Amino acid sequence: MSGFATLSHAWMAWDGPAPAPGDAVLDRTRELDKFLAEVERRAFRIAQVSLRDPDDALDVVQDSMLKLARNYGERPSAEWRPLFYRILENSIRDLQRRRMVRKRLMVWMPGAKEDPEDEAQDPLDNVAAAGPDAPELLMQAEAMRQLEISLRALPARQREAFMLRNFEGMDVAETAAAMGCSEGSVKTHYSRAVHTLRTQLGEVWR
Amino acid sequence: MNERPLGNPPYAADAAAEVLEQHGRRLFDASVENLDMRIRSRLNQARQSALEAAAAPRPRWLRVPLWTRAAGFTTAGALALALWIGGPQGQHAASLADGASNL
Repeated sequence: MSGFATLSHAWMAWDGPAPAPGDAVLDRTRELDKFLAEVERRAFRIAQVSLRDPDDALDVVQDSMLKLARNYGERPSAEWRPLFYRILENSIRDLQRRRMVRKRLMVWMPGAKEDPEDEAQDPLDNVAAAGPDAPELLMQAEAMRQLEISLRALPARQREAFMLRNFEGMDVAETAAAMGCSEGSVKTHYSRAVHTLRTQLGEVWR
Repeated sequence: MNERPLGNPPYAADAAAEVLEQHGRRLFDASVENLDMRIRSRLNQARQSALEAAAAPRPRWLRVPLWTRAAGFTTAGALALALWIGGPQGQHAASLADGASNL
């Protein structure tokens, strides 16, 4: 009888503290949701600077969110940020390559329309409704437009290094992880980007 | 404006570069803050659908990494080609041709 009692207690002790798997999954999803909510707008702007088209930028960000959640959701949350930006940069590069191929094909097609990406974007598209400080917003939008033009003229790796380091505030190690290169390469790309931008924008921003 | 994650300040070679970095960062932060509601709403929808899709169970074969699937298909194709070329039909045809030439 005492044996049964011991077994019964052992069973209860073993079964009791076991965590419900549903709760752990829910916590993980909430954590991921919080992380994505923190980075989504900045990621969108980074994608938009590279791709120009807001719809393409939205697609790329959504695709990156999905890939992160599906493939790396189980990883420690500290790893999410460089992983997310690595996925994002790869998706941006893939889309740019597809555009290049499409552009080359369009040349051979008679009567093909110009690519909509070539249409000039209105710098005021992303400016919120005009308020009391509207002139300042306009000046900011114009300055940002100039910065975007200069960034697009940079080689892709320099642009990535600048945006991740400067816009996203990543350190060298995080940027290297996101770009998939060495820390030395990040420093070189970043320093070249700053030099070129300073040459191009120095006069405008003085 | 306060959404900037923690990180070391970027390397600036000199004061002019530092001015450019700070100005660029401010402009970028402002452009993020001024994103219109339509974009914010679409980003929110995109996040929710990404989280839902990630939570949904996937078929077992889709859980195998893409490169593994590609390697499997390539190996199967190479094996099929090797069997087709080096199979008994090919040898038979060769031996018939050899026999005909010997007549």
